Amino acid sequence: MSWIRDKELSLIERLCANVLKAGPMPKHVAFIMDGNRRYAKKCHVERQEGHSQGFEKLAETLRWCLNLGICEVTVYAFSIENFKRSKEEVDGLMELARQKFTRLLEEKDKLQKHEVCIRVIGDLSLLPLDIQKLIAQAVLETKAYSKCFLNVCFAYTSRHEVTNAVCEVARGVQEGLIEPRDVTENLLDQCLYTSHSPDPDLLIRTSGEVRLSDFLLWQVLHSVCIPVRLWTGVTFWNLLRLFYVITYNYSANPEKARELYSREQSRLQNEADQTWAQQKMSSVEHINGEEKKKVFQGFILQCRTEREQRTQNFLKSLERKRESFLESLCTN
Amino acid sequence: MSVLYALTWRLLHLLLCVQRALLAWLRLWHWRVWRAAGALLLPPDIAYRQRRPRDTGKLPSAGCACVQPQNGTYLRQRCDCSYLHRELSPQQRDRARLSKLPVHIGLVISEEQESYADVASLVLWCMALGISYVSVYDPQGIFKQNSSRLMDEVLKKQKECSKYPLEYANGAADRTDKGFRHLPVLKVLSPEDGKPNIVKAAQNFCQLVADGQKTPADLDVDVLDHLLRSNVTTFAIYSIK
Repeated sequence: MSWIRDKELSLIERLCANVLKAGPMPKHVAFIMDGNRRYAKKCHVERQEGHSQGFEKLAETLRWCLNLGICEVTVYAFSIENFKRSKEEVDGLMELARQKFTRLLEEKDKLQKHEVCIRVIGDLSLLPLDIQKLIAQAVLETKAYSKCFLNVCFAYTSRHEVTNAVCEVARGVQEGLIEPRDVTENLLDQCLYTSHSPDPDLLIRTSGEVRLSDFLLWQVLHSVCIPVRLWTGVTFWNLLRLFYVITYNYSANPEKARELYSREQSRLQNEADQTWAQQKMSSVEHINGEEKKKVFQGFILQCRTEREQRTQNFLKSLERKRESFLESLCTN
Repeated sequence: MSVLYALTWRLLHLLLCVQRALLAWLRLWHWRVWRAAGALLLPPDIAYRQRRPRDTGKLPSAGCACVQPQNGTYLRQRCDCSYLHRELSPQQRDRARLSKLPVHIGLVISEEQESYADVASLVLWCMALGISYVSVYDPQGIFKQNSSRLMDEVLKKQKECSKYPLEYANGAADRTDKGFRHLPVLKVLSPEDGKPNIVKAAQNFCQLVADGQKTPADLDVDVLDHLLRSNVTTFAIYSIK
């Protein structure tokens, strides 16, 4: 089955979608796809069948999101914790991923038509090599598209992601690209796998659970999290209702919260810069008031520009490293 | 056409807002009526007994419910609740009805006006239910700034419902007590304990890397977890013996 379906909405669905689109809509929606096994049990089918059905639903949901004008979707497909499941099931899931990514590569024209950029988020090195190759190919081929974004979290947990970011930063320190005091929240944010996408506005967890299950913990700071019923039972109308609920709950103004948060960040950064400049000042010979002020300002400016330069260099090298990893997978 | 859609959206939104407000009001009214009726018709003792005649058999006559293995999940055995047997028995009876008890409860207080007394009651109820860890968080960090006031309030509340002596310890002096699972622990958290804490741990680790004491490969999820836990310096332990 294909990733992007051609099926259009019915007239009434289109009408409702248009009405809903007139209000505020989430820009980025994240899904935790859960309940495939429960569905399989309920319908007395094989587990693998349940997972396949789950994928069908994903394709359908993606189509709905596209119709509703949501340009970024993140799905939690496979957690690192899921490796602990029975070997048979893990193998089944890997086989499914193999099929679907192969299928994705065959659908290039559709991806091009909708300009869908695919990103796979997670620790790829934990996966079998052939899947890694398929993923790398898919990611590199759709890299240039910038209209819709589909982030597939595969072999992902949020804690691994944060640990990985800290590791990368530490590597930067080891190589002398940055200094320990350059490590800020912003820098860690940009070292995460999800650095290219904005934080999700809405997190939908299926199968009625309300746990976050180690998914996007760093990013859901200002998001609304809503549990819904079984993933395979989700309909277009459910989705509409959810997107409406967000407008209701969102009157608390996340933009304001985000702005306040970033202001606080820059204040902290300024404080750190000033402390550094003051330390530098102590080494300067005695000078009078007016000149002292000038020198102090100079130090702060120097500190800021140097830090920004180091950070930029480091982030560029990180980006290159990640890209070359994918490229090396493709060429081998 | 888009104007029409926008108008329809506003109209629907208004209707749904009205519906919501009505429902909320009805629910409140409904509850008030029932409460008033209950208070009028039944004296509290009878009401209580009639509601749960079966529970009395389940409750142990002496000793702690936690060490009862028959209907116990391990969660229950973790907590020593000898203090419960005195004045807080209603909570304990409620607890007997629960099949599973959380080990750690986080309370996110996002009220406009902070009420120390209410939060203290909440904390106390959680502890009386046998929950070993309670964390209180508010986005402005007000409770953390005034954590001693919250503690005082909790102590006061505790005194009100129990005549037994309390012990109260704060910070490092009682660190070792953390090992005893049965002592209820109260942590007061603020936004600083979130991402900034991770950043701090990252900075410390990077400093170690810069000094050549560690390599980036030393870091994994567990190590980072450990670093984060050891970073929480200001925390209070509230113990009742």
